[in-house]
Amino acid sequence: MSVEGNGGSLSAADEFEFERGRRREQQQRARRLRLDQLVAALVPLALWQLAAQWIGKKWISSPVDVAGRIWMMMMDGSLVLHTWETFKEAMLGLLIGVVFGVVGGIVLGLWRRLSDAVDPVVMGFYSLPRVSLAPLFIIWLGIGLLAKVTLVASMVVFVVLFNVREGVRSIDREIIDSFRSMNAPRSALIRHVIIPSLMPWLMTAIRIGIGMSLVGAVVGELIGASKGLGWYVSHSSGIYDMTGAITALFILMVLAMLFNGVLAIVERRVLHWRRSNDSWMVG
Amino acid sequence: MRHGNVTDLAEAPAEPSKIVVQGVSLRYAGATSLARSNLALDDVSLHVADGEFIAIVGPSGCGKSSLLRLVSGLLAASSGQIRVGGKTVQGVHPSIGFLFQSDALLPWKTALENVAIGAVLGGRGQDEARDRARVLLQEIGLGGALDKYPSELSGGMRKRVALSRTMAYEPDVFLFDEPFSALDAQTRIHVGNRFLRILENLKQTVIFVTHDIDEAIALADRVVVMTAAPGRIAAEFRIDLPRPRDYYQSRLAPGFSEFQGQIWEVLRHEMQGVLGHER
Repeated sequence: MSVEGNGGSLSAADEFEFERGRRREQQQRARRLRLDQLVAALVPLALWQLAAQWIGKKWISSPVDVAGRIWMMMMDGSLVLHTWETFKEAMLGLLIGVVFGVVGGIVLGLWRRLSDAVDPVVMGFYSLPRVSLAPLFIIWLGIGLLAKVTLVASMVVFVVLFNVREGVRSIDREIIDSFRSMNAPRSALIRHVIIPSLMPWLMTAIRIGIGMSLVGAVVGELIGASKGLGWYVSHSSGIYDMTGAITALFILMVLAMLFNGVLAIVERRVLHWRRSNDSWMVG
Repeated sequence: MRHGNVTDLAEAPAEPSKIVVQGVSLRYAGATSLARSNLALDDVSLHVADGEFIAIVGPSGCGKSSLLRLVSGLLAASSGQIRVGGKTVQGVHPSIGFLFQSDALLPWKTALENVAIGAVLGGRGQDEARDRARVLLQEIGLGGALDKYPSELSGGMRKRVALSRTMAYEPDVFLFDEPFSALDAQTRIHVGNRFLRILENLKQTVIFVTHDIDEAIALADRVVVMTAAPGRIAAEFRIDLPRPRDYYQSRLAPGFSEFQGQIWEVLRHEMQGVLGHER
């Protein structure tokens, strides 16, 4: 009941003081977290360097060698060449998959009968390991960009479709009705209700899709390519160049982390209204 | 504020009621046969005077919520006619404010933005809408929560925001569909009183659906009791308790328990019917 009362028992000044204390505590916690994360990243690197001395660089390379290789690749331009290729494949595939997934998800979400009819087929394709389609795409579309983009899109499209369909179905009926009861024009309904309702679902789908898009791009390159980080891994392994293979993997990891970092920023922007109650859970 | 009975009469002769529900039946969506078991509402007629506050009680599933949707135009009747302010309801009626069981606030908008949307949809400009929203929220005791999101507000506060949004829309008929059902007892009294103060000042026409007999008597000028499905009107009680009332204190007023007893008698009879069917 204390929350309910008119103004409550906290004065504005109290509340301000309380808010400031809380913020200071949050900042401290954030700083500590960054330190923890740095340690958590450095420890495995150190262990790896040690292990390299014991087992031999021939098998597992070493952080120092990998750093050297990255420098080399930066100098001769191959870093940009391969990373850009894989980035393009993943991003274009993700984009196409998201577009088709959103459209399909909205249609299936609104049209129950169609959705029920195609459900077994869609589930079948979804359950099929799409990776196994890679050889077909390569044969049909060649070893260039198109085959990889198609593979990535085929992997991403379903997760987006399912999420958006669920999002459409879970839009609050009473919110829609309350807008309708106030004679809201369709444009207001779409802008204020439909799109924001779908955003959390879409963000989740994109987060999963980002991981998939890199898998798709790399698998495509492993099977048939002339450049890209996946190609670099397979090429290096073929000539027992462990440093090369691990360097490409390391760059892939950094790429994935960058994607997720950017997404986290976008998410915080788009879903800012959720943060307020999340902070209780994070704390 | 509504004056001008003269013009009202000129426009709609022999129409003293703000809301007229005449012989309205509602068949469940998708029902193909005309069997009575497919009826949600069966030949319901109801007149609500301008400025009158009526409450509808009835067993769950009696179609009282459907009746509200019919009056608002969100739902179309299978047969019969509904007029609001002399105009036949066809599609969503422009001057009706509807408050739902859930607060139906947009989780991604602040209290102020949620209320301002009501004003914008009611035809106000953006800036004016925000000003009006601020005033309404201050009046309802939420001046300190303007920039809070619904997830940061308590259930009772959200109800107050929802009422403010409906008021910002400036309807002249208010429809309430069990707005307090999710609130705990104390919060319900607190919010109920706030609502009562505001509605008594507005003097607008109100239909308030509830399953709580006490609430119905405390709030309304007239309590309408509906039968179990298919819903019909079983009885009506004019509640002549003095105004202004208090959501809780009115229960102690002389006469209250008589109403309680009479209404319960009708309802009990109806609920026996329902339970009998289930057995």
